Amino acid sequence: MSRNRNEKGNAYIEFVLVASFFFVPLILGMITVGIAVARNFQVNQLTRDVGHMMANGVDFSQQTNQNLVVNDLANGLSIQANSGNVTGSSSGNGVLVLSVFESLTSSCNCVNANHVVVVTRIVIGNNTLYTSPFGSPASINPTSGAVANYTTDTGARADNVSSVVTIGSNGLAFMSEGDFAFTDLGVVGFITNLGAFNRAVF
Amino acid sequence: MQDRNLRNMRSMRDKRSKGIAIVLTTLTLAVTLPLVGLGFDVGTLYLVRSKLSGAADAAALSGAQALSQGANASAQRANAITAAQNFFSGNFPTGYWRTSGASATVAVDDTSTQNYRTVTVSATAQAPLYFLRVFNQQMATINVTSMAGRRDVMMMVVLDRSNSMNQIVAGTGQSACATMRTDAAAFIGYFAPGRDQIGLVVFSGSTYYYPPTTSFTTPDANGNDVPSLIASIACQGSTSTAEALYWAYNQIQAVNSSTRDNVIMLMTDGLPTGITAQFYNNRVANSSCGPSPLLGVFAGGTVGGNMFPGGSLGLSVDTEATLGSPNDVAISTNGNCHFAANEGLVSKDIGSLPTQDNFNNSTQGYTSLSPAYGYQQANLNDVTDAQGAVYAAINVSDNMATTIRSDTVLRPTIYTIGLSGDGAVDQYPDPLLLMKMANDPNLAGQAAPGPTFYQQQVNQPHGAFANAPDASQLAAAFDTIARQIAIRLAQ
Repeated sequence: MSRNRNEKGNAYIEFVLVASFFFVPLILGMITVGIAVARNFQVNQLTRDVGHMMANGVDFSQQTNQNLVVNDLANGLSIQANSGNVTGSSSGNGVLVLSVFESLTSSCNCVNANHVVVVTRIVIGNNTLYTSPFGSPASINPTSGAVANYTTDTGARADNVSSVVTIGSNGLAFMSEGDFAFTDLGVVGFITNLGAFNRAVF
Repeated sequence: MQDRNLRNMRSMRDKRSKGIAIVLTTLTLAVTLPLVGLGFDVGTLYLVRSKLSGAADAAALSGAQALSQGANASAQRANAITAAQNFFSGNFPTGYWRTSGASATVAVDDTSTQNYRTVTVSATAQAPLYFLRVFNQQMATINVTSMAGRRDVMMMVVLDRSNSMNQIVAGTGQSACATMRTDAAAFIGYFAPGRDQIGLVVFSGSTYYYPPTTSFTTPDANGNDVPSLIASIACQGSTSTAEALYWAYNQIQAVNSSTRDNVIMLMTDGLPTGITAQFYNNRVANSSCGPSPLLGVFAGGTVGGNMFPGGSLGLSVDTEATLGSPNDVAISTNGNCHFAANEGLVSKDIGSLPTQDNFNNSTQGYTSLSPAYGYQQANLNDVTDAQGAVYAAINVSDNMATTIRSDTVLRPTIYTIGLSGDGAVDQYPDPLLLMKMANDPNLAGQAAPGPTFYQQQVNQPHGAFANAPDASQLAAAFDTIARQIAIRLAQ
């Protein structure tokens, strides 16, 4: 009698044990990866939307437009808003690098004729996370993001943009690069260093 | 007996209970795994669709922008299709999430809508399925469509050819005038021959205009086209900005197209100094000057005392040495006017400045936009006050720009370029005045009364101002404005 009573709950205990070692990590992993995928999707959408808006003439050197990105489009991604500049800071878990490229022709009558140059660069968020590999101009206006002397500064050349997209003569390209670290996500020992990077070019 | 039956029943239940954990786990897995699989497949499809949609958007928009590149319609179509394909590939890497067969079909429609061309991108990709294969579905086809368009522009390019442009700029070996000729011609290269309509206004004291045409790069019956006319500009005379703007607006009104984007692009190297007006009623009592109408350009000089030492002042006829044109507003005078022999004797002929210029712009109204310049009200009753004449010239220019921006039907947008440091001992252009004339949104962030002016004209079309600190940066300034207009046209 007593043995039977003891064995009665065995099946459930076994199930709980199986669940503890199998289902709980599985579900935790699914939740973690699910959130990471959702954020990845958000980063994709964010870079795409910001790139599209830039190409439609939205000026992201304006603090109000930056706030729209940080507080709404990037809500939950822990990106730190700039304080009235276009160069970013060293805090927060995300960065957006916005660049406008132009393919200058020979009619430019300038040193950088026949080169792709970066004409605007705006960094929102943590500038230590990512640096755009496309052009490193000597001087950028800290409030407008306009690259100074881009017709003559050889550092403004960004011919390697061709690895992403080929720009026609006198043509423009609006690039939005987003790099985010999901430091609050992970399963100790199993899933670490989660994050997302996406690049959209319009 | 009862006890035995009870024991048997318990024994049977115990036997059944022994495998229940496996059954429960299996049952749970049977429900969980398909759900995970469905979630994975649907998530993948959603991600691929989002990326594909973004790539199609980028392709359409860049295609629309590329419609400005090319010497004729077919070249522009070809460039648009190439650009769209390039930007599609740039945004949708081959094999993204193991997709296959990603491609974009680009169609350009340049006939359906007047003065508007569209680029439609239909993109497709095959996304692999992993768990839904149990239903014999190996792949899912994703299709997206995106469209963008480019409006044709009706643009008047207004170029300052005042005398101050003639100074040789240190380090360049050439005059600002020569630099402007090159850079302005390059600026024309950003627009689409055959579609965009471009005209030219060249001004100093008087104004020359070349009517807008879609064949702006093709020589007309007289052998003139916009780039060649720009190349032939010779710089001399004062700066009658208001008159130049008037003729630019006049040409926009003559074309009268509300389906085009109407644009005036003004490049100047100084403050407005000239007022074109009827002076007959302002003659001094005993002047023998006449007959009516006494129409001319009154050119002022000094602002800020030492900014323009030895400034000239006078009523004059500006002749067009290179760009001779019947469009000039010519002074009508006779030999009895004192200023006909010597501009400096104008006060013997004219007692005061008129309250408005020949284009109904008030010579009053606008004061001290930029505290650094210290503008004051123009004293119309003192024609010997060269500085006051400049104030009046600023007023008429600003009022002309306001009149143009107030046109709610054609909605012209004004863009301005200010060239400082042209090497001349002259007034530099006031960036804030040019910002106000263009209604640049950055006006809101300037020192008072910039934000007040911005609020006053916030509902008018917004253009942009580009500053060229010296002639070597004029190319970048023209380029910046070309970019702004390109963004505006392709949406």
